[in-house]
Amino acid sequence: MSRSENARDLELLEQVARNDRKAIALLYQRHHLRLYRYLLRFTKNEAVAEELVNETFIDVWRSAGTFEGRSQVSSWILSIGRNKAISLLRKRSDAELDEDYASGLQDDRDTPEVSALKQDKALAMRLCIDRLSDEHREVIDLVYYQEKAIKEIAVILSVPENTVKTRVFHARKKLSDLLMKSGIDRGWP
Amino acid sequence: MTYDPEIEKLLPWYEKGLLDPDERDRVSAYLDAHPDMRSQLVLIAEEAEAVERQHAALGAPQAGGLDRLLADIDVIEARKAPISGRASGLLSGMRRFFSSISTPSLRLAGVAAALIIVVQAIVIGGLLTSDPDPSGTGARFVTASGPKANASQNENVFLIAFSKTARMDAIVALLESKSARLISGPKAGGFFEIAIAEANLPEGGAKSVLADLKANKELVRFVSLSQ
Repeated sequence: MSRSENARDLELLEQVARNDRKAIALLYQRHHLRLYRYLLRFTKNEAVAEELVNETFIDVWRSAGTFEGRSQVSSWILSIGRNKAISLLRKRSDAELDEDYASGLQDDRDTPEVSALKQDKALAMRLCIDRLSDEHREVIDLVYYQEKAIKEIAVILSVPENTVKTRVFHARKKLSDLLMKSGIDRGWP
Repeated sequence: MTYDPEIEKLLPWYEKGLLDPDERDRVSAYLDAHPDMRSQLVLIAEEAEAVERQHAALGAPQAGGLDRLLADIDVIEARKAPISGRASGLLSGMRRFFSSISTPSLRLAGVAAALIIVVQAIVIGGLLTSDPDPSGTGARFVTASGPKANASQNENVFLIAFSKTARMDAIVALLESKSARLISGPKAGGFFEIAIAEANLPEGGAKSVLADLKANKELVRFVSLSQ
């Protein structure tokens, strides 16, 4: 997100802090899709993601006046949604969490599905991204789809900037490993 | 210049144009010194395209999300709004009643509630319209299964619908004049249930109240005595 776009978001947020309903509507229109997709990747449930989007923007409405500008407005919104998603997932039963955890683990097997895709590099790439751990997939999403700078990702994930750089690096290496096991040699690492 | 893993870590942000100018220049200089590293940028572009395609395939949330958000915000603001005057008790009760309706299927009732409370002079007809879905979200304005305060055995229950031009303050005054309390609604068609304690009935009892309400054509569109 460019500086001018963030400046516009800041203007809107200031108006939201003054209870301007049009401003929250505009802010919603600018960010709800990216937030929804981010939360959907997190929760893997459309209805839950939609509910979390709603709750996130209610929080934005309530706490717009407390925004300190330590990140872009869009990063702040993502971090609110992320925290809500984490809280929700923690409330689930242990069994559900185990299931989620298992589904989030990468699978190193060269499945027939992947093998069949050896000739379709782009499709294999998407499949392998889905097989990354949740932690790795999330940082990849934040760079490539959400287009967040290192500092912004550090705020969203509440980790040091060096951790962000290292995590993305390892995520990319893991992706190359998975592709290699699927018969696609990218020549790196 | 030797290979610098720290700079290599910056390549995804370099490719996406997300580095500060200083860092960008540092990476550019590194790539000039190590042209073979430019192949990394091709890999990164492939990764980015794959992620973007994945997200595009996720689709979008259902329509109506913004309406729902604004309705919820109205309820929040209504809770904060000061209520004064003689109507405060009844309005407060109505506000609590409406704000307790929170399930997704009843969102529209929340819109109605918020409008009633925030803008006390609003024409209630707009809230009680029989149009089941003014937001276009597909939600039905049906609250028969919603929260309901039970009428006691010593109360008479009336089913009532207000006229489309009735003002909120006039409705409040009417209900207060009859010592009535709201126990459920709005139901489909804009109906509410109100209860009047036996002890508060005038001479002539419930039938007298029914006749009075029916006679008030300005405010009351329909009223019947529930069994």
